[in-house]
Amino acid sequence: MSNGDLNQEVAEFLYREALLLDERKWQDWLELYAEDAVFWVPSYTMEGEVVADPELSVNLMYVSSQSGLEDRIFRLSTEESFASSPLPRTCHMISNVLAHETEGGTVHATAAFNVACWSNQRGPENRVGRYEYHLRRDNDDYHIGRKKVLLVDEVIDGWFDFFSI
Amino acid sequence: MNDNVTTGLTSELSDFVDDRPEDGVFRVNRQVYNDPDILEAEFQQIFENGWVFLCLEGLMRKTGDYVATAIGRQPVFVVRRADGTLGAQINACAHRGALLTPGRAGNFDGNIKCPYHGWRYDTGGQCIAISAEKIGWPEDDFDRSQFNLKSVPRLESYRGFVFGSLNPDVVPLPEHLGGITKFLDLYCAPAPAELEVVAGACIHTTNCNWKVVHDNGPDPYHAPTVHRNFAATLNHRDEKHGHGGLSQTETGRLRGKVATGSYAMGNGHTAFWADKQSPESFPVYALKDQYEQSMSPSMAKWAFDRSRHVTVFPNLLINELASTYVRTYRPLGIDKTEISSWCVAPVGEAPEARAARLRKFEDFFMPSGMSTPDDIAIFEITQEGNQAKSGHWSDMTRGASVATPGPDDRARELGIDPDFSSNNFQHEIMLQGIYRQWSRMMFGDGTTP
Repeated sequence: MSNGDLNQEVAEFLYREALLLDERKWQDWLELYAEDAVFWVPSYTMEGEVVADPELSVNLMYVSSQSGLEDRIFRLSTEESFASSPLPRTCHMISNVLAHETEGGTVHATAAFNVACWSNQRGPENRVGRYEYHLRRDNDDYHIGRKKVLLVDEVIDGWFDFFSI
Repeated sequence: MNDNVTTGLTSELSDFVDDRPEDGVFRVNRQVYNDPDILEAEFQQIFENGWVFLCLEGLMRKTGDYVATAIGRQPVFVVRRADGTLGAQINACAHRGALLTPGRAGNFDGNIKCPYHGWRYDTGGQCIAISAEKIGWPEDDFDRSQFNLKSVPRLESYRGFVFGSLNPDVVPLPEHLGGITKFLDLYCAPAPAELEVVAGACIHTTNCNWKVVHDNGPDPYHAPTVHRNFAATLNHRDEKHGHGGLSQTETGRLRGKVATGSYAMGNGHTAFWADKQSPESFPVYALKDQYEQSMSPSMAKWAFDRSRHVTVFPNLLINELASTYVRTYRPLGIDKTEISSWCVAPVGEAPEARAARLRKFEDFFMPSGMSTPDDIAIFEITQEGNQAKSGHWSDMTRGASVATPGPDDRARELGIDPDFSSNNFQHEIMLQGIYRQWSRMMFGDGTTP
């Protein structure tokens, strides 16, 4: 596959994930992730560096299994999270998608994101940053082995969850 | 009318804090959360007059390491000096006032260089070089020391917690902290290892008054409402995915299933405790066998089987309910507060214990976690509701009539002497203690807090 074709294929996969989040199809979204998937949003150190080792650092989010993501979906389903009720509306915009095959057969991809969010509590907000994906080819489709979300913001105003980044 | 000359406030204390124990009333006027004149007075009377928490010593290990922060409105930095001691300076070049710190924290790399005109200072704050000095001051007897940085008059640490004061006459730190030192001792006990600040930090801002944040810490009463979804999620996780051991999260206090208590510690400080339902889920439990023998049974209970939570007036919270959380906050405006948080853990902790501690920290305390977003959302609607001119009293009477003046048995075991003790942490004696201190500092006679 040419790099252009791979970029296009991966971009469509990322757009699909974005749409599932925007449409709150949580179960379908969850199925894009491998059972041992890592969902990582690193924090910045006091010196302004991204933490290097997620296991032994403070992260904004570090979920290392599909079931850990499912916990977050369960929490929304309780409808008792005041910050998430009613659920904010989101619109994920993804661009600058670049993908390449690695020797192990995993596709690594980066993309820029801008998520517009509107919540009852805080009104309009935007979260901007870069995704770094490890995608596992599975027949004609992909599963997400790892998603790292690098936020541009070092100081978080308000709050966010997996669906608003 | 007893106008406060120092602050210029023209109202009486009773307009703001309605403290009538004989009538069973303790109320706070919500104006304290949204009146800019109040914030101005708080800057003068509380933040720039008493002790404030600045940072953790563990953030400054090497010579030249600094943390930039503020005392009230005034920018300061704390630095590890060449002689190994900690110092604190006003963070403004003696020349034209530019900040001297390139970042929130870092290393000065030799000496301190002003980014504006290149003046240099040593880590003790002495002016050591002025760019093109001879052009500006050709005289032979020019005294450069007139441009030394201004020092923060008082800087003291306890157990690695660094406090500063702009008031040279403030009481010694141990006197200010009182019985809180016992809780800080427990925080570091029983392991002989020193504590380190784990890599990574969380700095976030919220649209509310600083006291809305401060009041939330000593308010376990909100947990069964606001954090019920968190407890339910962890229950779901445990049942479905079988989290156990160190990765299990203690939720006894959220479910109301354990003994609890609280203290108004004096000087506006607070402490509450909750017995642990799952003491084995805390990393410290691994040390129980080793250390239990050397402690009295009651102190062993305090150290291993009881989780603790303290606030130090006006800007520090230490939460050991599920992880080890240190939070400080400062007003950026009447309705904007910056919150900075760190995880503290023993040096040399086993990786699996460290990882479990961190995941629990992230689950609860991050603005992207499963609890703190709900707290922040509540802060912000509370700030909005506080704008109401009609019905402007916040009630904090709860439990006042059944509180014990002075220490209870558990306090005596720990060796603390609180103003009030309560056998249920849902009583609001801690909030009463906070606003009594607030009253003393805002409307007192202006002597050292």
